[in-house]
Amino acid sequence: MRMPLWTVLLCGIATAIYLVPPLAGVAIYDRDAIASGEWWRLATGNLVHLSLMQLILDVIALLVVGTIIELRGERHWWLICSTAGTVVGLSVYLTAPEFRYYGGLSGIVTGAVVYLCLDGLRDTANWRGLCMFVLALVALKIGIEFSSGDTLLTVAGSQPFEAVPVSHLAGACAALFVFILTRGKQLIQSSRASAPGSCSAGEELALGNHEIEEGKVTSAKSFSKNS
Amino acid sequence: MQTSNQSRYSILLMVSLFIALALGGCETSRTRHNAASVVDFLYPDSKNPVVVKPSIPVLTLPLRVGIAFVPGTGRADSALTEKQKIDLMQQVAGHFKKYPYVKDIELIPSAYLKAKGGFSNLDQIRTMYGVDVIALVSYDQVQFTDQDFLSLTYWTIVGAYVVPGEKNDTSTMLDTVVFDIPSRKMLFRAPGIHHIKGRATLANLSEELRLDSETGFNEATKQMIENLDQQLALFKDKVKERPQEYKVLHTAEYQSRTGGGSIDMTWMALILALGGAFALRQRRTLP
Repeated sequence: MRMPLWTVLLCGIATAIYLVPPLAGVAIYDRDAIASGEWWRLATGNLVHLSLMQLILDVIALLVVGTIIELRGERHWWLICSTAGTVVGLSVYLTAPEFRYYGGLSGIVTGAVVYLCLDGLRDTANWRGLCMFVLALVALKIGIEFSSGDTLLTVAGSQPFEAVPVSHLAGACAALFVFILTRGKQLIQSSRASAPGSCSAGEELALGNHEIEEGKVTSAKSFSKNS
Repeated sequence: MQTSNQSRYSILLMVSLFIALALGGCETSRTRHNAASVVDFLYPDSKNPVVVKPSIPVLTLPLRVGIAFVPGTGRADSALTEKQKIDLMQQVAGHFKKYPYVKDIELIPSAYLKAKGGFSNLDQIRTMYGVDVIALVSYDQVQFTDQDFLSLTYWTIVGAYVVPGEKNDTSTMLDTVVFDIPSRKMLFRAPGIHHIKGRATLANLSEELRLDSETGFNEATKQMIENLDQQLALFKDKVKERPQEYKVLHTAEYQSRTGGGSIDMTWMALILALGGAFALRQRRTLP
């Protein structure tokens, strides 16, 4: 079993930033600092956590989702994280001017879940069903968050910050964008292959979400076929 | 000639019948009318009105907002019990608490507002609850229990609204006016109107009208909340466009607001379910 390197690295950085406050000072989303030119804070703000409980929950969630994504052989995990992080920061900056500070990985986690489930829609029946269910719940959850202006059943009780629903929507949109960007070609090929008369339609669909390079199928192929 | 006389006679007869029916209708007219007017509350002396000159409002964000039903006069108050008023105010407050520029919404009990209390009464409320902005809710409900000329249209006392009325119809209008108390300036207002077609028979008339009254208030409240949302958005634009008319200050607390992306129970449950399903699948596929 391979090591989910990117996920462990991200969680490690988030923990280090929490434990070393000067790092948080440099990385946190600070609206005034961003306005004066410190643009990196739009992305690095996601790695800053404002309470221990927020850090624990975000890191557990990212560890679970990131590990699944990396074990499935996803090459674009870094792209999902960086795009979602930047889009989340940008969305908060543009749509929530009332917040001077922002921190938390949940926007990236949302993006990761959406990407994982979009990718899973071309997988075997059971996994596909679960992914469809999770995507529907994510859409419902984001809708409820927007209408209520808060998160559902916040587990950590009172927190030193207010929930920002736009961060989850931004993470989900960023994931959709990266998915289309990275899987668009495969999606078109799959739909062509599944057209009537195509002899390899079934096999290509089964292999659709795994790595195929220059006609050589990676180990994920046998995994998909067996499952 | 004879035909002409006959037609004249017919027209005369029809007009007479019409007048007779109309007068008869007026005599038997029964209309349940419950209202509370914000104009009567704020400017009670219509003969010698006190001229209140509004000044430039200074809105300090986040705002502490009060919400109250203006008192009715006499029997008018019987339309809504205190519990119903609190429930309706909670619906409105629940919707607007989410806005970051609203710190608190205080529900002001009716007992603290005096009939024709005016701005001096609002100053008392401001001192008592520490609110600078108040949303005054007024209402006007008419239940036409008979059909007549007077009930064909009805001019609400809340504002310039004409509501139609047929037998056993219930017309409800709620109106919220938001005032900045120190400057006496009206910031914005939004109405909610609902009309219920009469379904009652003589046997269940009283019960049906009571239910219609409740439904009317609930539905009008929903519409009023939607309208308040729209008016609030327009007001925000107005504040930005006309800084000379509205001053906005931000408290240090408001300026250093912190937002966070948080994982909640539902999120965590979903993610753990995904992780569990993936682990199971991995175990099955391993040789």
